[in-house]
Amino acid sequence: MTSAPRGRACCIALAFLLVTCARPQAAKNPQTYRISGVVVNATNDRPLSQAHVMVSDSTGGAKPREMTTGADGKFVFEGVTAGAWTLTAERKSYGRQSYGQHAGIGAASSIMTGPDGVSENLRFRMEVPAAISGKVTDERGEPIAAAGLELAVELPGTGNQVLVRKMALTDDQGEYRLWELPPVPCYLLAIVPHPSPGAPGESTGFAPQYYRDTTDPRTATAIALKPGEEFHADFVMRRAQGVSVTLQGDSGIQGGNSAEMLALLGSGPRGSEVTSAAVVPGQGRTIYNVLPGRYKLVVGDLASTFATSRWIDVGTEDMTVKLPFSNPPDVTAKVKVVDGETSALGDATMRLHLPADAGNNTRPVPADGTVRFPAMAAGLYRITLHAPDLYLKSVTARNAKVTGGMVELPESGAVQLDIVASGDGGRINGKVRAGGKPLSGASVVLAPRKDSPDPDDYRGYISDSDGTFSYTAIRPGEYVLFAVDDWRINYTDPAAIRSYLAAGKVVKVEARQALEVAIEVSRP
Amino acid sequence: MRYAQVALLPSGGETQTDAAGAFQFTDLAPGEYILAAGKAGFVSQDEEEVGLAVNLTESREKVVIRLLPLASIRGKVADDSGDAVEGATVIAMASGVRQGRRGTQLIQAVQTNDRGEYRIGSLRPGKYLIRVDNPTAHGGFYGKGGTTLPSPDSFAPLFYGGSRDAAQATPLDLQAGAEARADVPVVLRPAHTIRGRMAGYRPHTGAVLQLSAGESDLGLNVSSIEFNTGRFEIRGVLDGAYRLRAYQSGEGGEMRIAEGDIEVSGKDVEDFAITLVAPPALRGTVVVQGSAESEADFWVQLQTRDAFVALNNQLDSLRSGEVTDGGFEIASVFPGKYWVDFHTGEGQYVASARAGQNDLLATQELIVPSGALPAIEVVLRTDGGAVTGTVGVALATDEVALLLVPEACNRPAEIAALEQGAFRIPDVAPGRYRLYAWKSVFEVEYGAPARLCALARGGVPVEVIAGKETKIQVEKLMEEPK
Repeated sequence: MTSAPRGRACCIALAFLLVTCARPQAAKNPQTYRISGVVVNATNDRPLSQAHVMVSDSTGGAKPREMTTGADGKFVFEGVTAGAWTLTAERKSYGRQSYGQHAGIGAASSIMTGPDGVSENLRFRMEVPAAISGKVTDERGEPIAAAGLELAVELPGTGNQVLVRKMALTDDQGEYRLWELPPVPCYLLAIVPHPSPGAPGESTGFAPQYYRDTTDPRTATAIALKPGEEFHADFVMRRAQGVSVTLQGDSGIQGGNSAEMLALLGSGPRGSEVTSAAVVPGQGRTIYNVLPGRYKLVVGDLASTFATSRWIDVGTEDMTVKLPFSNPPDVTAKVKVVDGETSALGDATMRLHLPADAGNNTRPVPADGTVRFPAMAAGLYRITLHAPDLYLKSVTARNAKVTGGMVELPESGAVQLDIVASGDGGRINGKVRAGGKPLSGASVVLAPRKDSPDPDDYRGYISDSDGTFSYTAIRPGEYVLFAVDDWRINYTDPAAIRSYLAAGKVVKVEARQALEVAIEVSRP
Repeated sequence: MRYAQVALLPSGGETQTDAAGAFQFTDLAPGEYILAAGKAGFVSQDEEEVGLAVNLTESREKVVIRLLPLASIRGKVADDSGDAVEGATVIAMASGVRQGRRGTQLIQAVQTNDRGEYRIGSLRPGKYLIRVDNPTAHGGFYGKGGTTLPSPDSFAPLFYGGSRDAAQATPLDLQAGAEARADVPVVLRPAHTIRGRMAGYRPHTGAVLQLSAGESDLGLNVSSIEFNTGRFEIRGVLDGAYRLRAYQSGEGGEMRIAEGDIEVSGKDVEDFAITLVAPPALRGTVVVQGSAESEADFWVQLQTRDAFVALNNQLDSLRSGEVTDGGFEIASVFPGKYWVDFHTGEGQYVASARAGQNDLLATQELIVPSGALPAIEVVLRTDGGAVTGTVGVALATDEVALLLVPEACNRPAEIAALEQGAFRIPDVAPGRYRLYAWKSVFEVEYGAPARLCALARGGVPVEVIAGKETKIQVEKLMEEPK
């Protein structure tokens, strides 16, 4: 049961990338049902013993129940009331995975119990994780010990969202091993700590290197892991001369101790830290020994009340970066609810997001609807409002330009965003079938009929055990709905779903309207 | 040896050996130089030595520098059915004596991979103990109130060779370049989860939880703390009695501690509450007897005896500041067992130091309970005697360490080193002593009261008289104790 990026109240347990979404419980039915099935190895279909299986109420109400499978891999939970349930299993060498999920990553399917539910004789396929191992050496084949390896994985369905999933260090022989990896595209980065990071002195070092053999994350090769695969990736690190990066301009840190400024130089596909240097105004702002490559420059205060960043390309010569923060844009967003209850803002969060950047400017929306994003960097940001019962109806800005759900922040000045969120969205409930039978685990996509540059306009849902799916708070308009049995589809990319759109079902959603739709799965 | 770094100090520069291991420095002025070499995975032959001293009057060819290869240990941790144990912590420890007290030092800690394998590299030649601790099972809050999945099975920490106790463990004696193998079989037993909460917790601030079965327990259980509420859970806990401790810094950066005793028996422990409080200060009084005009010149040092705390380098050593108005203070002393050492300035010695009934000079140990701390009462005197001496001509150029042990073994031993063939131990409490002269006291556990009492029965008798100097002539070194 899940939908991403915007479904019902979604809570994301980041460590496990497990996405569960609350779904209103069906009315209490005195009748009870049974959830049963067998846990199998998804590769060879053999039953798995010693799997801890847990059933929990998708709304988080009832106390979860659990059991451990025996040699036949079977599990059964009797006396389950009608509703939507999350089924999860944890097992040695497999990690924790939910039903319908792939190796513990991305969305999962809910188990639907009730008169029309499907909850028995389930096949709970646990994907066999993959592993990557290899050796890190210098150009002459000498092993490099204590090199850091950082693995980022692509979230299925979303195309380019990348999260750092695992890290490892090489041993004294330069060898490393990363394991329990999901079968999704992965990016691997090797980092050799500089002996004197950020300080003058020794200036040769090894530039951070992405698999394979590039210092630029944009040309990194995705490793497409298969279930159970043992992938081998060696790194030959190259010595290079470090250069200095000098920061010019005002840090823009207001109040407090202005000496508390931190500049980080990061790398990784989406800017994780490689080296950091505390930079004290007045005492020079030069970061020494930076090796050639593409980095994320982060500037913030030590208390992390704000941090902002931009990508810089470091070459073979010393360089100067102008801080974009001499009177940096301060953003104040005012969220107003129309056609709905202000209380719908209860668990709402708002996010300003630079595409291709992992920086997370997510703030809770307080009851008065005023959200502040102080000291931002200039750039084109996507505006996202996460609220289960609201959709973003319109955005206007003062001192900035808004187009297609994005706001272009200027180099400086105060920006006000006036956001209208509406509670009059429509809703679609439906069922996916394949050859007349309900299909669980299908990717159901609700796409605007007219292509949109805003990925938030595209919504995905992994169909539940009985083939059902559900969307709420849909902005009124014309959409195309389709289902496909491919969990990796990048549904936020109009080009990737073009062929399905043509054969999809056109639905017209009106304010407060609830639609019931049945769709047949599309052939890829 | 190829691609080693070679440096000529002070000003000769640095170079790298070629593929045949050769190096050269040219255009050097005559003079004294130090030649040092290094390479990852190797260590210079003598760890004390910085390099090879070279007195250059003319060109020198074919200078040979020897580097020793470092050693490594690898192995597998498997359970009784032969299955790999993933995420077990494997620690290489060296056992050694510091300031007369034996302790273990963490050299390196690694974790087993999904195949149960580990590797600890870059070890200097020497003796090591290998200790394996609880697997760091998948832990964490899966939802409000924590996990409900049963705790993974666990095992009690043990040393390579099967011993639970460092003293009984089989050390691995590694030669230079050795590749030792140390497989550790463990027996997994059903384990439980402790769930609880911390009162006084500061949200979104790092905190550390430690569950320990005793002072030698490293408390490496994996805990997870809900960042915003301070609720916690610790999985993989075997049946037994434990002390749970939590550490977190307060608003002003001061450390706070919470403690509680837990008995785990056959089931999970739910809603165990502990409260974070600032630990109290340890206070004491000092008087100087027998000299009206003397100001106390004195300080106290506390050293933790808790393996976990020592490994984490927290609070390893606490000192009192200056004595003011006849009193001293050590702020924020966490409960636990400490070694206590007293130091005085010139002309003074500690005549007695008590904490309630505890004679701190005799036990050298201070047990700090939770809650109210005992005040320390210290008496200093100025009428100490001195032991001075010389060594015979045969020993004059050697390194000689002297140890003065009180016959009643009721106070710490005094140590001294030889300077230009003579030694002097000032400010010694009057009484009967035994003197030892060894090449070194490095391996002697004179700081442990039991060992000290054994030493009080040997050596050369020496009487120290108040205000007087006792002269000794040492002709030969004694057999060093095993």
